[in-house]
Parts: sequence; structure tokens; C-alpha cells
Amino acid sequence: MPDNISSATEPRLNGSKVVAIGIAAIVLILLGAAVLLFLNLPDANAFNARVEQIFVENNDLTNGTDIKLLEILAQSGTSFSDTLASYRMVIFVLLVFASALLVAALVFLVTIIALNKRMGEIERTGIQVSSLLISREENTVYLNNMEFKLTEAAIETLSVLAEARMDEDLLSGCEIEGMISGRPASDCDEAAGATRIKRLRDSLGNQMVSELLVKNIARRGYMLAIDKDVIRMI
Amino acid sequence: MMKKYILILAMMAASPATASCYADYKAKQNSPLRLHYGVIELPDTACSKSAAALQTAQRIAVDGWELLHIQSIFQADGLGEREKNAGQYFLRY
Repeated sequence: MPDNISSATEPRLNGSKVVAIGIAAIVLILLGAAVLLFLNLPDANAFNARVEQIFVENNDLTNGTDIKLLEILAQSGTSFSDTLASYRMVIFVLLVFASALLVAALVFLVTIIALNKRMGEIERTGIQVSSLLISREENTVYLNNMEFKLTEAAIETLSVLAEARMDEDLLSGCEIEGMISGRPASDCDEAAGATRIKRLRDSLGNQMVSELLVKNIARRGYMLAIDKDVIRMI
Repeated sequence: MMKKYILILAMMAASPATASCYADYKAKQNSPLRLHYGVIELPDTACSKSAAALQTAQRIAVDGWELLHIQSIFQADGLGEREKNAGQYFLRY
């Protein structure tokens, strides 16, 4: 029964559905507003009808001058309704802008939510190295601006590995030992290179864990450098 | 014989002058709105308000006027006081 299986793709599908529904709702609401606007604004005949009503209801309004005045009144009303029509156009353009902005805002909101999810995933995958700076003179390596002190030999190993990485090369233990000691790689022992790698890992890993996880606060003691809310025991 | 014809024709032409009643009315034209107050003479068959309205509407429609309402029906003695207000629409149609 495939219906009972929920997969990870469902939330993403729901997300795009939400966007579609949201955009449709925005467009519908603003279309409704536009229709209401166009229906409710008085047209030219509203003024004429009013003048006509005044003319019919008042039996004394039979004088030629009075009638002329009424006609002028109706004409000024008609010209005012032309102004209203231009206002209506302006309001309509603003409505279109508003709907475009609302749609854009919705899309951005959904994008931000998706990005937040991605960020969470990236955080969970662990340390992501965005910069590696090797200072041979100080025997120091900077990983993501975190400073790690290494021995001279370990810095040599790391430098060799970094150069090989820049050339997109893979190095065997023999080659590492050969490059550092200056002898031809065929004369070197594979185990010597492996030892260098092990020492680099130990030294760097130890410092990295102490920086990222098990912190030592001077003269006070040790603590885990993580948020206490993320700890769970099974 | 000829004289008799002329007499009949003259009588026919003069028949509106023998009208038994008059009505004053209000009418309009659309776009641009124009209004007028006028006096019209009616044959005695049309001296009720509804009949007068029907006939007046037909007669003023030739110039595109639309009847708004018949204000009153009166006799020849009421013409004098209304002549000035009706102006060019005094007994025009």
C-alpha cells in the first residue's frame, strides 16, 4: 500500500503547492479589489441623474436661467467624473504593482524557508572548510580563521598535501616521504609516509576537537563547546 | 368647389387652435445633459395626464428630447403666466 509511505519529497511538493496557492490567492484578492473598484466608482451619469432628479422634483425650476444653471452643474459633474476615471486608472496601476510585490514577497519567503532548511543540513554535516592558510614561518595553519599550531614536520606534510591538492594530484606514502626528505620516492618506505600522515592527523585533530568540541578554559576546567539544547541521551 | 376645399384645409390647419387644453412639461437630452421646460397644446382627447404624457413624448421626440414628466394640465387662461418661463419651447411642438 504505497499510500501509507511518506517520503522526504512530500514537504518539497507541498512547498511548491503552497506557493501556487498563495500566488493564486493574492491575484484573486487583488482582482476582486479591482473589480469592486471599477464597479463602485460613480460614472458620468450619476451626476446627470442627480441633476435630472432635482429638475423633476422642483416644480418651481421652470425659469430659463435656472435650467441653464442646472445644465452647467451637470457638465461640471461630468468633467469631474473624467477626473475620477483617471484616478481609477492610477489606482489600478498601483494595484497591479501591489500584487507583483506581494507575489515577489511570497516567493522570497518560501526561498528563505528553503534556504534555512539547507543551512540546517549543512550545519549537521559538520565542519566545512572554507579557507586554509598555511604559515610556514610560524608553523601555524588557519582553518576557517581558527588557528592551529603544528610541529615543523606536520606543517611540511600539510604543505605537501596542499600543493598536491592544488595540482589535483594524489600522493602515496612513499611520495610524501620522498618529497619531504628529498630522496627519490623509490628509495622511501611507505610506512614512513603513513607515520607522517598519522602525526598530522593526531596533532590537527586533537586541536580541532579541542577548539570545536572539548574546550579548555584556562585555570577553570573543561566543557563541551556546544549548545546544551542539542544534547540527547539514548 | 375650390373654395370649399380651401375652407376645409384651413379648418384642418387651424384645428390645433381649437385645442381644449394645454400642458406644461419637463424634458431632457442626454450627453451632454440638456433640460427644458415647455408648454404644449393638446387635443381634448389627450387632456388626462397619462394621455398627455404619451402624446407629448411622441411630439418632442422628433428633436431627440425625452419627456421627464407632465407638470400640469391647464386651460388657455394659464398660458400667459407660463409663456416667459417656457421661452423658445412655448407651444413649439
